[in-house]
Amino acid sequence: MKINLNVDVHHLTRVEGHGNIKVKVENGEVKDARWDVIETPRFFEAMLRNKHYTTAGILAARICGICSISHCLCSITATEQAFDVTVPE
Amino acid sequence: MKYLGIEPKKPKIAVFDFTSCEGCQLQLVNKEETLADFLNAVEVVNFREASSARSDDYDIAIIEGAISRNDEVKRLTAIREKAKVLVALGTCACFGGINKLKNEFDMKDINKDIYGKDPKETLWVRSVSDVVKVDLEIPGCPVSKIEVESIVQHLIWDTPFSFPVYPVCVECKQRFTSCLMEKGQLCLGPITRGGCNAPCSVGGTGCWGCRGPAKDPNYESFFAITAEKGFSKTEVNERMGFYSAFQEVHVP
Repeated sequence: MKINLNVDVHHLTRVEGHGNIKVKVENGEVKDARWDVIETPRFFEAMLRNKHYTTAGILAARICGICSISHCLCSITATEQAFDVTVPE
Repeated sequence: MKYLGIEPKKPKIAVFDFTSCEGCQLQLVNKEETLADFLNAVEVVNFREASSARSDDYDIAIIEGAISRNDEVKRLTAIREKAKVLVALGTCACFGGINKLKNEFDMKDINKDIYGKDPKETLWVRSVSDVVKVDLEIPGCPVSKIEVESIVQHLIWDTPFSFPVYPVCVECKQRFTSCLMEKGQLCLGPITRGGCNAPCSVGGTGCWGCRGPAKDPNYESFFAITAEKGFSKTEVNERMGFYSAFQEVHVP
């Protein structure tokens, strides 16, 4: 069946972050499929500059309120690697 | 839902997110044991993170996040015109939060460093009250759900509520925590407004001051103690500037 479809979701719901989805199908053929991230940039890469290393993990946790723990743990692991230390269990 | 045979007022609530991590909104739906009661007490008409409902007819607009782009200024202004009560939810909305850390840099420079040939549109970060009139500010990174519930009960049924004037130290001691400053950790508990029930210091991390200053904080004594404990001026200032909640206050 040759279908025509025009999907335009403005602001996806039930997720962290602002995203739009656009899908265009003409005669059963996908012409355009796009996901736009439209939220405001926060410049974490800059915020982290010149901060004490103990601040990094706590700041990185604020990237996302849903997955804050993974951002925090990644930042702490990166900090440990930067200092070349292995933390014992 | 009737209470003592009376149908309570059910306000229409809309939640809107701006420049933020969306963790404060998440707090609203995170406390499952009271979520059903909470949703019974209000009518959620717009809440992107939790629902597909989209209506522009609301009594209370809850604003999460700081303001950092022109489209956000326009959106916020339009929301203010429609809402009877506008609430700033969380540290970013109340003070600008960690987003304000970017204000100390040259926007053009950081845009080039981070996004290269594809610079992003951005403004100096402002709090919600820097842009529109705010009726109520609920600080916290994230907000305390128990506190938000008390405020909602206050708005609907006039049950008493007031923000504590005492600092975090009071609640920390009520939970039998040994002072972290005595253990060599920096903690903003003595100057930060209580009401959070001290989850950070009880968990072993010093307070970062997300709720802003307590009433009449004794900065002079606090700075004397931090100096005596050997915390550097830079360290204390970095901590106090983290959320922009202490505005211009810093170690002299």
